[in-house]
Amino acid sequence: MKFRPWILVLPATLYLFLIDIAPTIFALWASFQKYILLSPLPIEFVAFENYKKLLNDVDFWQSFVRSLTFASLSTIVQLIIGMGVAFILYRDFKGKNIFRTILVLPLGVSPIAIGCMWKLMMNPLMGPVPWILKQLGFTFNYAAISWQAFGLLVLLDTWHWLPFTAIVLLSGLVSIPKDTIESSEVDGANVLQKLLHIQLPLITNEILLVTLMRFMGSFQIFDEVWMLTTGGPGHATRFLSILLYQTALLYSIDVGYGVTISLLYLFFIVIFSWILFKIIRSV
Amino acid sequence: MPPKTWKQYRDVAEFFTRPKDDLYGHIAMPGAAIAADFYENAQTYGLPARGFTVARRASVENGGLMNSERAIAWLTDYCDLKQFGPPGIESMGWEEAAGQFLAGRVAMAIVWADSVAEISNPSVSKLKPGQADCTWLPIEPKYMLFHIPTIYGDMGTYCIASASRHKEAAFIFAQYLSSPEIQAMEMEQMNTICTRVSLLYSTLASEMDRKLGWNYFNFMKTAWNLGELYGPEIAIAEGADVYDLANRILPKAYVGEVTPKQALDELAEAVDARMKELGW
Repeated sequence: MKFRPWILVLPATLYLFLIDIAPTIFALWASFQKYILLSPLPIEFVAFENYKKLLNDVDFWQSFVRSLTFASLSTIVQLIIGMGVAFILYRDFKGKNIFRTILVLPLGVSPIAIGCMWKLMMNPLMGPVPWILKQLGFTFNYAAISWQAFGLLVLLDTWHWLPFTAIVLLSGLVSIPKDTIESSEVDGANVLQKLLHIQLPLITNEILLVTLMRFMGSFQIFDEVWMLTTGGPGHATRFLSILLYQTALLYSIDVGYGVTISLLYLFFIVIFSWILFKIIRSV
Repeated sequence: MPPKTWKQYRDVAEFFTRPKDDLYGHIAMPGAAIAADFYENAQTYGLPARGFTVARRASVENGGLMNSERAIAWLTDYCDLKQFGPPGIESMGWEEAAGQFLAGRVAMAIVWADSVAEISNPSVSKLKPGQADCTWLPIEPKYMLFHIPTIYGDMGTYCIASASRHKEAAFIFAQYLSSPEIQAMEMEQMNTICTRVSLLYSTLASEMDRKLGWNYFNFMKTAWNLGELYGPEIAIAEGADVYDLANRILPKAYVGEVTPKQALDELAEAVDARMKELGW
C-alpha cells in the first residue's frame, strides 16, 4: 500500500506527460533534425544548423521586433485605459452593474469570431467604420496602409482584453483599506495625490501581474491577426506567431525549423516571465 | 469589344474608374492569391509557370525566369492597375473580388470564371445573365513573340507525393477521381471542368451554359480547339512551395514596400533556397 499515493497520481502524471512533456521532448529532438515533412529526403541529424539558421534569419528577427513592439504598445494602452475604467468602476453610480456586464462581454467572444467581426466592420469598401471616417475626411484602408493595420490590431487587442485588465486593477483598488484612503483625505490629500502616493503604490502587484499576462498574451497573438490581415499588408503585421505558422504548418511543413522557432519563442516568454516575477517579489 | 492588350485593358479600366460613383474599372485577387495571378496572368507576358522550371530552378542566374525582365514587367503592370481597383483590393481574395464584380461595381475582373457562375443566383448577384461574360485575357505583345497558350483552365492534376508510402493506392484513387462519372459530378458542383477536357464536348457543358446564362464552357471549348487553353497549376508537388513563397513575398510589392524587381529577386532567391533544402 506504500505505492498507493503513486498509483493515485499516475493518471494525472500520464496526462501531463502526454500533453506537456512528450511534445516538448519531441520538439527538442526535432530542432536538431532537418525534418521537412513533405520532402522526399529522410530525416537527418544536423546538430545546431537550425539554430544557426535562425540567428541569421532576417525574417525571424524582423517578426520578433514586430511582436515585441506590438506587445509593448498593446500592453501600455490596455494598462492606461484599464486603469481609467477601473477607477470609474471603483465609484458608485447609477447603472454601474449594467456597465460592468457590457464591459466584460468581449471576454466571452472567441478570437476567431472577433477577427471575423472586425474584418467586416473595417472592410475598406463596405465597412461602416471606414465609411464614417471618410465622412470625417479621413481615409482608412488597413489593407494597404501598414501603420493602420498595426494600429488596428492594437485597438482590437485592447478591446478584447480591456475587461480583464480593468477587473484585475479594480480588484486591487477595492482591496485597499478604506481607512488608508479616509485618513489621507483627512490629511488634505487631493485626488491626484491619493492616486500617485496611495492607490498606485498599493496596487503595484496587480499592475505588474496585468503587465506580465497581457504582454505574454499580446506577444503570442495569432487568431485575430490571421483573420484580419494574414500578416499583411506586405509584412507589416507578420508577427512571430504568423511566421511560425507559415513555416511549420503550411506547404512543405518544415517541422525542424518550425519547432526551433517555437522553442526560441518559448525561451523569450520564460525569460520575460522570470524577470517580471523577480520584480513582483522584490516589491 | 474586350481589350486585346494590357495597354487597352488599362485604358478601359481608367475610363470606368469613377470612385465618386463607387464604380471601378478593375479588380483582381492579390490578397489571397497573388501567386495564382502570377501563374495565370504572367503567361500573357510569355512567362510560363511563373518562370519556375521543371528542373526546379527559379532565378535567372540559376536557369529559371522568375526574376526575368518579363516577370518584372508583369508585376509592375499588375501593381499599376491597383489604382483602378476599389479600396481594399490589396486584401481581396477570389470570393471578395468576384463578389465586387457580381455587385455590379467593377467593369472588368481578373478572377476565375467559375466564380462568376453566380451571376444566375439573384441572392448574391445584382448582375443578370447576359450582362457579363468571360473573354480572353489581354496579352503583352512585346513578350509574346512565340505562341504560348494564355487561357488558364482551373482544371487540376492529381499528384502523388514522392514521399508517399502508398503510391499504388493513391494512384487508384486518382484514377477513380478522374473517371468520367466523377468528373461530370465535379463539373456540376464546381461549375468548371476539373481534369477531363472531353467534358467540354458533352451535352452537360451546353446545358450548364444555358442554365447559368453565360458562355463559359463554349468559350473554354473554343480555347481548347485553338490551342489556347492550358492548366493545371504546376504539375509538380513543389509548386505548392512556390505558391506559398509567392503569396508571402509578392504582396510587399503590391503595397509598395519594395519595388517589383526587389520582390521578384527575393522570391527567386527564396524558391531556389527552398528547392535546395528539399533536395533539388
